[in-house]
Amino acid sequence: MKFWGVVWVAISIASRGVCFAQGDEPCPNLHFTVPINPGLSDLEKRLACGAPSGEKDTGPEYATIPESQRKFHISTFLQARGYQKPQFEIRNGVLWVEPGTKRTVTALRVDGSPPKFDFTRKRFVVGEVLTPKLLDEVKSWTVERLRSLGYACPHVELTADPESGIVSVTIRPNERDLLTQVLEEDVPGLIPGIFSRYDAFEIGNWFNGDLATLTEHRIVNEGQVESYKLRVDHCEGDHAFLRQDVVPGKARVLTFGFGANTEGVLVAQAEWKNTRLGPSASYLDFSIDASSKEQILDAYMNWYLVHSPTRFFLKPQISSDHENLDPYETITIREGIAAQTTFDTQDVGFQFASGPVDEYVDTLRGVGSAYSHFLFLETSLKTMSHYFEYYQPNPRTGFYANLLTDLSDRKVFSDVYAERFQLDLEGLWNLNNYDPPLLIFGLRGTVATTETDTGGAYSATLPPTLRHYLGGSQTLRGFGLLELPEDQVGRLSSAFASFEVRMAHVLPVGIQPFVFVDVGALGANAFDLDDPIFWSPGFGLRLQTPIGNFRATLAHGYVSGNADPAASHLQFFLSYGEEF
Amino acid sequence: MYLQIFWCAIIGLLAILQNPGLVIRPKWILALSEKSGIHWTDFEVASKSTGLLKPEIEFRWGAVKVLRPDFHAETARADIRFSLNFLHPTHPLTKMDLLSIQGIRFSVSPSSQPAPSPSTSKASSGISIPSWIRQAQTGIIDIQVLRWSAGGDHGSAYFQHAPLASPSRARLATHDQWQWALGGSEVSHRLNADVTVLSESQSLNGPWRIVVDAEARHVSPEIRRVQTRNCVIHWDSSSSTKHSPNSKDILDVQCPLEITLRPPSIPSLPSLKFHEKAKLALTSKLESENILNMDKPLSVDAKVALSDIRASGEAASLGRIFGDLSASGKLIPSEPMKNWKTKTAFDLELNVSRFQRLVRFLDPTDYAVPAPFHALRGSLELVAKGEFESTHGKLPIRFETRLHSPNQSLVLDGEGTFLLQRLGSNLDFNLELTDVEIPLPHLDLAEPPQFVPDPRIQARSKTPPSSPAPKEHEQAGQASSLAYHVGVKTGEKPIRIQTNLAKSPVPIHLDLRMISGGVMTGTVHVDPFPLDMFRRNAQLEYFDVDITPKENKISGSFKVTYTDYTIHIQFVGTADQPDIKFLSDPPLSDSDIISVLLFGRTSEDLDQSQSQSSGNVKSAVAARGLDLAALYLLSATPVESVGWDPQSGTFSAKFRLAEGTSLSVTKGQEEMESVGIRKRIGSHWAITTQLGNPVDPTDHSIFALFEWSHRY
Repeated sequence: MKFWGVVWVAISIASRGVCFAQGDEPCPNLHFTVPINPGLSDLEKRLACGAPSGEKDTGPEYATIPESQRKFHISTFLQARGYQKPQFEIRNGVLWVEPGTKRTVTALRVDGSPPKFDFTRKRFVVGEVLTPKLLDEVKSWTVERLRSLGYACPHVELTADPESGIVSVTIRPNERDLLTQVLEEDVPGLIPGIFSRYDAFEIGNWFNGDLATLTEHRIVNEGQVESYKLRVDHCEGDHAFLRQDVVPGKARVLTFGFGANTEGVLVAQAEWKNTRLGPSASYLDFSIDASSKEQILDAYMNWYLVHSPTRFFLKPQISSDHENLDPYETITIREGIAAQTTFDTQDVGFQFASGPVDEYVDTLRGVGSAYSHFLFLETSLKTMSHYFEYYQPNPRTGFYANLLTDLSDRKVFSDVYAERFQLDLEGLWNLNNYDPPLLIFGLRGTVATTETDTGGAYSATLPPTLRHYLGGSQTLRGFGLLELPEDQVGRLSSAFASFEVRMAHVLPVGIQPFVFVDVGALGANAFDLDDPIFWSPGFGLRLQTPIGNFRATLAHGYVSGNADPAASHLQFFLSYGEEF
Repeated sequence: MYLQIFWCAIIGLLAILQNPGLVIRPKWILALSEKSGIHWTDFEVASKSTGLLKPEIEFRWGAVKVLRPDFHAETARADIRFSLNFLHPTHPLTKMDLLSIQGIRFSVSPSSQPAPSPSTSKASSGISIPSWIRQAQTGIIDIQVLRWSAGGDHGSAYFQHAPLASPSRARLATHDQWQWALGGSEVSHRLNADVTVLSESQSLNGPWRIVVDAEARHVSPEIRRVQTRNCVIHWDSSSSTKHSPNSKDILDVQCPLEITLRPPSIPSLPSLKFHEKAKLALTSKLESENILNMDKPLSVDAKVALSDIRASGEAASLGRIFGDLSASGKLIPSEPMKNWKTKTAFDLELNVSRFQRLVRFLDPTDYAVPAPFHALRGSLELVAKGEFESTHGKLPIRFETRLHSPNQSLVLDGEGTFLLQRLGSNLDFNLELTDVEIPLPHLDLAEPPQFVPDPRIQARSKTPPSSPAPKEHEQAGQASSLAYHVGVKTGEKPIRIQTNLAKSPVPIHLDLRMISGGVMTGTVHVDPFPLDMFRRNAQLEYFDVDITPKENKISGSFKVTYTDYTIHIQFVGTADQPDIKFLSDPPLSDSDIISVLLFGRTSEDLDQSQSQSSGNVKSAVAARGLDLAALYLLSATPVESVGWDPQSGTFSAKFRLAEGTSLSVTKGQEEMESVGIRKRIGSHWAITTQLGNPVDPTDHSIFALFEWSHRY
């Protein structure tokens, strides 16, 4: 009920388009000694001033409001704004209100917290303005954290002392629960339990509300259904039962999207997909992605062959990719089919895919044969911690690793022997696990090599797509996109590592500064790195906005040794939606 | 020989009676009294004859000390002189001529022996003066008690009495000052009395006509002064000497009293002041065999007339209290009050003839009558009339209001009884809401403010301390005090609440019961009425609240009529967490019903954002995450999108407002870091975060797209 009172206040403020102080005199018989923020809404004014609303209140019943009732209303309105000790005085028939200062929270006292529940990790409570809304937020955070620790049915109560500013949280966590069952709702046309293939949790393990949320996100992001919610249905002893609420929606989705960055300028995407083919909810997707640097035409299907809840599927795919980058311009056509499956533990998710890929590369510009054909056995093993995935839009913690191998041989429908290995690693640490974070440390790197029998990197046979370059917002930020090597030939080996420290949720309006240093090297031969070493220290700003995150970096690229001094320069990147 | 001895004895006795000083020798008295712990100093006895067998004896001493385990006393100089007449067969004492004892100090220690139970032994209390003393005349009395103490109490007093006129006319001037400590608190009274005593005889039995002009100050913390002028007391005890069965003492009092009160000060009502002086007329008649004997039955018939009690100053015109208070019956003063057989009759009336005056008077105070009730005009009246006996009584109470304003009515009729019983009192009162109509202020759903303070934010000093459960005897004590049972019920007409949110007044029937301890039970029933919901004509079919000490259970149903569907929204449970069910005719799924309600279309015709909103509402409803207020707001305000995080209970809603503006509001965490890979930002629009390039397995970058999507 309190929430909706606040909602109404907020609606009224927005409806007037005014979110700042009204001044110190909302009406002739009411005077605030200092402007309050936000100001009073129309109905609040009527009740605070005791003035009739004209045609709305025609009778004498609300023509005047007794002084004590006005004080009561004003106190209530001020409480919602954080003014907890207003003073009133009548001067010449005018009610003077000294709202005082906004009461801030001085301490947080928690009673009954279970093990591992650490309220000191919660930021932005102590020192914040004490309002009903803040209490709602603290309560929601507490419930969410308790549920992430396994307490599916907690009871949380809050009180606050406006005199001392102390907020007291009383927790009755009840028993820590094992997730026992997900009570499912049948979706017409689909076999029961089909959505369990997205489960980020293990039945029989400790309940974790975050993993239920992650599961929801996976399903909705995949687009399989319009809405998917997992909520705690009930608890029995130390057993928790989840219930799924599904709104399937239409199966076919047409999407147009766009983004932007300094590398690809404008990025546009058009996509059509059928998210539920057959009772196993197979997935068919056609998409076109276009930027000034790259245009992609792609079609694939996640084909669940077995008519039972399974994580195993076949993924046939065909795509055409036109890349027009500084070192090269290619058109790559790939057709393939992969056997793919996923697996989740309570902490980590795995994805394994393996299958043949037929790849045609037409090199329009740059090093390499004008036309190359490969039949790869492409295998990838990807692992990602659940919390890396959970916080993917706003990275803060967890790890990610991806091992990719592409194996081809002249004997098996390939023009050249080429074996590509690439290992990507990324780790994020949230200092002291503050929520929201204070400092986030990030480390990422890639080691990639291509082994071939065509000779070293300077051999003209290998197409650019199998060569390795560095530079750009995702590798060495002190250099332009794929600027390295400077001879634009590409190399058979590359490695880089980036270290970044981001100051999150310290500055106002979502500004998050960060500093970083990137280090990398290239090698002309497989499994070998040569001099020089490229490194680029720099700094940047991340701006978190309601419409997505913007990231800007300014770094200087340095080349070790006696390299061409022209290679060292300042590099600026601006991107929308990119993350470390 | 024996005859000679007899005559010698007679002669000796007559000689002693003629002059008692012959045998009352100081030495003998000192010797005898020292054995009893009484020590005299300068003890003298003077005896002389004033006639045949009419001796006059005077005792004088410089000081006396009485040292007994239970009684200590000492006096300074004293003179006691009295005249005797041994010719009177039964009343030898003719006159107490002089009684002057100065500097008395005495203390009485309580007996270590338990007091006898009243049921087994009748306690003797009060003053029982032998008739031969009461028949005697009195002379000068001058007694000064410097200090007395008994148990934990102590005090001092002096009493002076001097007959100024002839024996048949006496004037008594007393200036008494009493101080004592009771229960640790010092109490000081001052009594100045000028008593004129008229008697046809010089006997203590009267008949006496006593005219008292008296003034007592500091009578109690509440009573500053009690004053009487020309208070006539008629005391006739002469008939009691005749030993006839009907002999009795009669005390007839006709006293005008003026009581100066210390008016109760109410800090929050500084302007409410009562007249300090209350005028009462006390008329009483007391009859007893011996009115000074507390063990004798006393017949009482008293009446106090309250002429008119009003407030003073601005509050003088508010209303008035008037009536009579009378008591009659028989009692034995020495017995506990519960054994008294008296009847007290009340006939009191509180009348506020002009409610607006009360409104104006209370307006600047903390007890101001709130809007819209402050616009009411009319009267209210409280009448209490009945009888109390000493241990039980019944006082019927009647309360009524006749208040109206252009858009509202408050006509209440209440009747009840106040029962006084041995174990406590009991109020049983039924209030009928005969005609109640209340207008609410004009509410714009885009503007309703927070009406009541958040109870979670409360100063610790105002929070009731968490105390252990009351002990059994405390509960019993509470039970034995005032118990009440108040019923509030609507009459034939329901309460009508006028609001712009409904097309007609909301009709409400109440049947509530409140009992001691603040426990309320009962039902609230709302009759059908039309309203707008989901931009359609709707009707509240019924709404019931079953109020129990544990929780308030609600049940109700809305009907929303569409061209193709009729949808019923039924809810049961509690107002905070109702169990909401959706039914339709023809039948639709819950998703479709919610879609129709929110967006006017079935779920198949919704865009992605609307479908998700519909799903979120469905999930929130299933999780009981929507309270009734939220449901009504959703129904009354155009919704753009609704979000729901079941793990944190975070509910967010985006409303379409006027002039193409919209607003997102969130219950719970304002900004969730884990908003998901797909974040809805409007109808069809979302921000999606993607990991990697779908056609380049070596690309694992994270990027976002601003996306428009459509499901079909």
